[in-house]
Amino acid sequence: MARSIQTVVWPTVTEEEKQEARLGEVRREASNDADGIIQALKVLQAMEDRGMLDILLALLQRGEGVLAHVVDVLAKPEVTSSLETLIKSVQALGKLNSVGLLKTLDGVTAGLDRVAEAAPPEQHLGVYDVLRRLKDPDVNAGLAFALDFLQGMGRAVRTSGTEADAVGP
Amino acid sequence: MTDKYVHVELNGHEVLVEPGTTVLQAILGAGVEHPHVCYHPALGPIETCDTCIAEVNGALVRACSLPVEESMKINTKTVAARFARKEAMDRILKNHELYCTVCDNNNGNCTIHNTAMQMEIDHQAYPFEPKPYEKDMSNPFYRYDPNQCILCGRCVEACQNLQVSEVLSIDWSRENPRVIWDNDVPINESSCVSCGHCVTVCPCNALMEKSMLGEAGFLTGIEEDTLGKMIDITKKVEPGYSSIFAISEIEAEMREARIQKTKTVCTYCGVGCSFDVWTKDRKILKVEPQMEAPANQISTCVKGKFGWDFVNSSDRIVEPLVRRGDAFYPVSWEEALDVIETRLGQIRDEHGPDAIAYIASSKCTNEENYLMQKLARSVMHTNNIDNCSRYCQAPATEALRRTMGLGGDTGSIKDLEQADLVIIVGANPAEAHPVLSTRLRRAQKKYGQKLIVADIRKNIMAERADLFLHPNQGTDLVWLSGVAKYIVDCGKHDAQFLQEHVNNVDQFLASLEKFTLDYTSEVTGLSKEMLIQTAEMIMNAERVCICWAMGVTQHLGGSDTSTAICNLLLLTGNVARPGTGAYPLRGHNNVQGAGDFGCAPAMLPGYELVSDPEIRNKYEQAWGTPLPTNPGLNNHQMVDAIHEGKLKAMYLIGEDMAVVDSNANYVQQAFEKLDFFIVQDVFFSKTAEFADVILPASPSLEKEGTFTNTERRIQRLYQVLPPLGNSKPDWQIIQLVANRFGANWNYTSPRQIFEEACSLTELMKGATYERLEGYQSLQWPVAADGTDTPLLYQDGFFFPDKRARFYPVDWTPPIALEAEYDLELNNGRILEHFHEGNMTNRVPGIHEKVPETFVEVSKELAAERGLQDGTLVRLISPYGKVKLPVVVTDRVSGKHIYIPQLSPKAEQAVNLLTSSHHDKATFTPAYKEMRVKMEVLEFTGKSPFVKGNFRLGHPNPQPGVNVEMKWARKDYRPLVTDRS
Ligand code: SF4
Ligand code: SF4
Ligand code: SF4
Ligand code: FES
Repeated sequence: MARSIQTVVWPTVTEEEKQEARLGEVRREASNDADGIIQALKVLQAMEDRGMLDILLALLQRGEGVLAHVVDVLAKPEVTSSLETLIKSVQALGKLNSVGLLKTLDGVTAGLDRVAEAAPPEQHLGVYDVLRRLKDPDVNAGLAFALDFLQGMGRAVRTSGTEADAVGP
Repeated sequence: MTDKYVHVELNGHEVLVEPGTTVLQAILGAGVEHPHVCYHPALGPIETCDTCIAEVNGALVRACSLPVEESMKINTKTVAARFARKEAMDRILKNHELYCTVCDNNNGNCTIHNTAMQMEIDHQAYPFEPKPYEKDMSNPFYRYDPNQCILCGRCVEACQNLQVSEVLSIDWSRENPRVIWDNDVPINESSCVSCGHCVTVCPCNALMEKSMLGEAGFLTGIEEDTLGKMIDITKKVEPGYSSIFAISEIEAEMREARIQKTKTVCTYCGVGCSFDVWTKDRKILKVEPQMEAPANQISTCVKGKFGWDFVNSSDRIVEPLVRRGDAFYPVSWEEALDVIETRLGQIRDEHGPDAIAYIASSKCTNEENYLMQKLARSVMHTNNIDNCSRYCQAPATEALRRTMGLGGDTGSIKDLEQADLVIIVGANPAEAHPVLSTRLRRAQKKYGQKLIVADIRKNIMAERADLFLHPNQGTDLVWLSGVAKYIVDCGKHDAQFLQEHVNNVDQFLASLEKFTLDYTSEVTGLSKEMLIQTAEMIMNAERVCICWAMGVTQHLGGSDTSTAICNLLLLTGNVARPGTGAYPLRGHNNVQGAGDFGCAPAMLPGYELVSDPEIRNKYEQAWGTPLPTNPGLNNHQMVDAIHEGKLKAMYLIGEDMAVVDSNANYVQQAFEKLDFFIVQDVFFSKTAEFADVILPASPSLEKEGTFTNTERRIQRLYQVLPPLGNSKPDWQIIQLVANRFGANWNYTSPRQIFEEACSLTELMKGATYERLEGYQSLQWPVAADGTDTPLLYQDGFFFPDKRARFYPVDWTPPIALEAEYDLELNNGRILEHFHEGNMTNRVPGIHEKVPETFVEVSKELAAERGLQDGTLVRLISPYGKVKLPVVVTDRVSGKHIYIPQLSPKAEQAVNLLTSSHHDKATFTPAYKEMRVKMEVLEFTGKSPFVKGNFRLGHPNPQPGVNVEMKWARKDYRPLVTDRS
């Protein structure tokens, strides 16, 4: 005989128990990935030594404000024009002899070596050619280094709950 | 050999192409990159963008629309062609601001981005010009940004000619053309059904899933103001697009790293759409259908495209729950299994294995259904195993097995597309099988397919039908037989086919004798002219398909009417040829698979009979246990057996039987009598309220496995998300239970289960996970070498002599009730919700659009009883009563009323009204035969149809995007050579 019932009695969990459970989780995770965590701690320490943590913290806490400020600075005509120069030189770089260009990038990602080998030595690579190469999985994996930085930045500047769809006119 | 092909010269090289292909297809087929912004393979040429221009025999033409001809000279590289394409692209970019890095559509698959890059567009000839319109954010699922809209018209073509909801058009007459909904109303006030076709085909970010906004990119969540300034700067400094592309390409690659794209198969209906789900952690960013998807290509309905948020609902059960006294208590898995082991064990020891019953689920995977019947038979030693296809599809299966041999649709959706005439009987595919219905609507609108709809309600397909038959309730068998007799009397049956392929001809013809036009017309209420017209349409069609569903099956004579359909198809030779056949439309995503994998009392996997000692022996060998020989109970008999005190315990998976079985009060009373009841579900359903133990299961997105759709098509789903909380995939739970009873199973993946199951059957011998990798699929029967069978019976029917059999049937009049029950009750699905709504009602956007259930009444009844939208009525049948708000509509007429199966509140479930009467052969309840009386409780109230309900909109049918109107505009200068 079982009547239909809807009541579920959830055990009352005290703050302490919750905390204990969370700590347990942290311990579990930490022991699962001890190497990674030790590495991360070293990185953190190095950053702290060089005063970078403070800067990052400030950036992350003030995300949107900082970005807005940066944007305002960038919008000044003199800055804009030096930016232009910068971008132009990047483009010029793209027109360099492919071996030269790829050497510059060599230190950054080992994956590019393969592209260098594949490319006929004297051929000039435009920006578009380089872009196409980015589709190469090896190269692409090499790019992952930039991910963490941008991710942090994206998260910091995102304001939660805003309907921040594309820009208006 | 070579004359099969057309020879053309492409940029100086000779290439061979298949006749009927377009110049564009020839170019792309030869591996040459060539822009084509408005052309989409699912839509065909619409010629709005001019970016595909090539020089053909010296003239500039749109490559996407021109068919190849012998000796054609195609040149894509001439200066004139390149110039024309560049100009076309410039015109597009005038309508579209390139801010790719901060655009949520920059995911490597943006057509505009890719085309601009491919064409190496570096500077823009015409500055971007904003349009004087606001973004439309009104629809809960997607938004339109006129400023980014390039007016390619893909969305319009998709809406008008693929989905055929006929909502969208481009208003070319304005100074600034834009896409409009209906006659230019906000999206959410239009007739838009939110199928998402338009969003899927849009080549840019003009139409976007709202769930993507601010989520897809690393920089796309930035506040509008800041972002605006950033874009301005970018534009100011920008010496050319290439640098923007450089950054955005890198960023797009990085997005790949954190957005997961996983193929799944829809959990809702039997069409079996498959698509990629994009997720970021547990957030569902969007559903992205793919051209390779065998059942649906890029099509979806609102549920498949936008209906997944329920997986993250806070209502999910994520701990096992055990009843103690008057409440449920969360427990560990071990504790829950302890309780199950003790109680089920006791009951089995005390009352024998047949005192326990098992109900599998057509929402679960094939693997899970296989395990459930293996648990019942091999571990718990009973054939008391069934699934909910008993509620809908068993009569159709029975009929097909009677006449042709195999219990599945005889062909594929492709055959439905190819038919000259489609007849829909007692089905509402526009709402219950949405994507399948789009194929019929497209075939009718674009290719002149004819459509007959026989239904007691004027549903969406009936509105579009060339001939709408509205027979009296429960008389389909009569008109089908009457039409068959008329065809025989005209001598237009396929005598040769009958002679070569069909038995029992004389008996069948004799059984038709009584169905004269007079008799048929009298019983069905259809005029003789209509009957004759129906027969003529069948006789004049080369290829005929008949679709049917619960309007046929859920009657006292459900199996017989289904049989009459099969007989009619055989009589006219409309089976075993492309474009013909019998299509019982399976309701749930895996109704077909639950039956295929043995969840029925009399049948082991592959429809092999339990009663056959040889087959039993095969399974005993394979499973290493003896198997029960007692006949098992089907789920209808189970409910009776509980009332009779014979059945003491039940283990039920993924089925809200307390609401969806007919005569719900009787079923719920039965549940109260169970000694022990295990319910395994994703949500705390009405059925779960009666449980002793509730086991938290994972929905389809959280597991691997296969589903089999209405086309007998087996498709793989991959795990998109990890199980939430302590919930588990059903196959794991079943294994845990089985092992408590000594099963010693050790399955570590659904693959093992699937391959064990299929290798044991004859029907699916060659089905393996490898052959189902990605978007590949197999339609059973699957031979050992992996050959599958999209179209059945081409090598003969599934009987020893390879001949089909007529199976004469007679009419069973519907249930009769006293005169006080004066209204005829019908019920069925609605588009937005699935079935009773346990999942869809927890999708916020769907809930917003259709928050509650209702009863449809006719205008005549409304006038007679003073009803209006929102009037609150009580409906009473001899079995129960429900309270519902009224909607007045001409979808129903006279004394006919309609209640959707949707029941967010269990006390509004239509099945509180239906009876336990059932189909004679299969025990499928006669859901569609009930009469009720009505009491008005409150004359005025809030209409259950709220803003956002597509039924309140006013479609705007158009032949397509009407590109001629674009070409006729004064500001349009042609880029192709004038050939007039
Ligand atoms: S019905 Fe709505 S969602 Fe579907 S294609 Fe038309 S406008 Fe788009
Ligand atoms: S909204 Fe329609 S017309 Fe505009 S770009 Fe998208 S598909 Fe093309
Ligand atoms: S509910 Fe049916 S039609 Fe809709 S997406 Fe899912 S399988 Fe396709
Ligand atoms: S692709 Fe040919 S006109 Fe658009």
